[in-house]
Amino acid sequence: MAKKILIVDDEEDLRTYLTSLLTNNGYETETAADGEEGFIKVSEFHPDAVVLDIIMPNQSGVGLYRKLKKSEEYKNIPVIVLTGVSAYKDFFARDRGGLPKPEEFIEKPFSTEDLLAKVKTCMK
Amino acid sequence: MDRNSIEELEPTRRDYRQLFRKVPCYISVQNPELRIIQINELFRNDFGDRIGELCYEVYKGRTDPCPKCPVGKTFKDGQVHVSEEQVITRDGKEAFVIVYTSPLRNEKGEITAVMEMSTNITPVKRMQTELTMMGHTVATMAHGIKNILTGLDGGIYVVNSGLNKKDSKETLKGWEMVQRNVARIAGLVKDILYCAKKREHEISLINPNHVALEVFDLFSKTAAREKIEMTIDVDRELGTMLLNAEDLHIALSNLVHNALDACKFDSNRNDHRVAIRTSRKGPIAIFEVSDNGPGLPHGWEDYIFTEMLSTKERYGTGLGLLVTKKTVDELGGQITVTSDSNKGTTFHVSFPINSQPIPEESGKLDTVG
Repeated sequence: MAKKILIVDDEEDLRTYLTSLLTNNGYETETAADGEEGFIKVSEFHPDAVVLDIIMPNQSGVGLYRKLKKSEEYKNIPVIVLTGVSAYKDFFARDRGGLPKPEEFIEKPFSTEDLLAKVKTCMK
Repeated sequence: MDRNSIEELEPTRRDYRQLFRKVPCYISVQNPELRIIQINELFRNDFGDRIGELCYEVYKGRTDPCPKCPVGKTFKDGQVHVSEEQVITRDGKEAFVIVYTSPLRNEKGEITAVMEMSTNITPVKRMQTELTMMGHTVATMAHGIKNILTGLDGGIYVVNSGLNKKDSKETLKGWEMVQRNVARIAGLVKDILYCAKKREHEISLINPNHVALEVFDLFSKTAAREKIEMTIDVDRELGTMLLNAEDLHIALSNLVHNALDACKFDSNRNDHRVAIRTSRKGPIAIFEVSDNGPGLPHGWEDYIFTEMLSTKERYGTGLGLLVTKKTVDELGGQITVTSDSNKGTTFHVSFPINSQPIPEESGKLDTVG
């Protein structure tokens, strides 16, 4: 059965890109445009991993990350943080308020090989 | 000393006095009370004839001595001290100076005064600030380009994926992504070139209210699509003035575009409004663009026209406001901003209503559309 990936990004182009890339590589995908919608989709879609953007309207990626990692039900879902702002890598490295580190971190622009490798690794 | 020796010494004294007067940096001599007892010519030019006054009052407009006064230190330890200070010249301009202080002793070796020699390093400081800003600008631009590149990468991937699968719908989707991101690059490059070049602004007789109405028309559909109420209030008293219609259009369009984005990305309310207003205050034409979005982050008012700042992260580079500021400056106008986190942001642009005679070829009113 295909592994399920939830893509949370407010930019439609990126959702289209990742949907195409991941479905072409045998994953089942679902998308959400912000943190709030992302949390609803997690409960409905039950993803095996989440590709998460950081800067989004409504609830940011940081907000959704906190919510997931604090939840008993969802804390084990691996999260791949995808962002264009490299400073967020440092933010996640030091200031997570006692939460675990994200499973993977990818900086834009990324290579498709890198992204696919990280998606695969985090679900092992 | 006999008369001949005094006569021999006189030219040397004159030379030294001349040297003291003419040296191309500020020299002042302070007594232990920190009162100025001697000054040179450059000091007199830039700070006035302030002999007898307290140095901290003269240099900095302070009422008490500076906390790390280099003159005081030299009085205390007899050593040369160096410090960088910010001073205010007689015409109210701020200047950066590098200060050297040196003790002046009497025959007994006691320090009776301290000489303060300052070099104006304001142009160097300005260059330093410009270089820092340039670094910041390049970094911000790189961030913007990074996002566009990801969009382009994505578009190319989706086009290829569609072609491989012979899926014309997917191919078209990818092609649209490529087009969108190429347009973003084109916009970015246009803004960079606009900022970099010095442009000639052809002035003609225009009706600024017409330009404001054109900008309103241009954005009203976008506003409606985003459920943002857009209004315009033009002051008929404004009449006609000598200005460049295209530049006014660029400036107002950038401000309206930003105002709409501020509302679009604000999830705290759902009754967003953007207003364009024109008015006349005596010889000044005023254009205002307001939004009731989230307001600017604290402290941004001070830097928003000099640095590339954007609240829109991937969508904006912050170049738009630099373009607007440059346009308004080059047209002899002024731009200011007021912002409140509860009320939103208002940009105020003002131009003196030019009363120069109208050139003959400018008989017809210019608009952009």
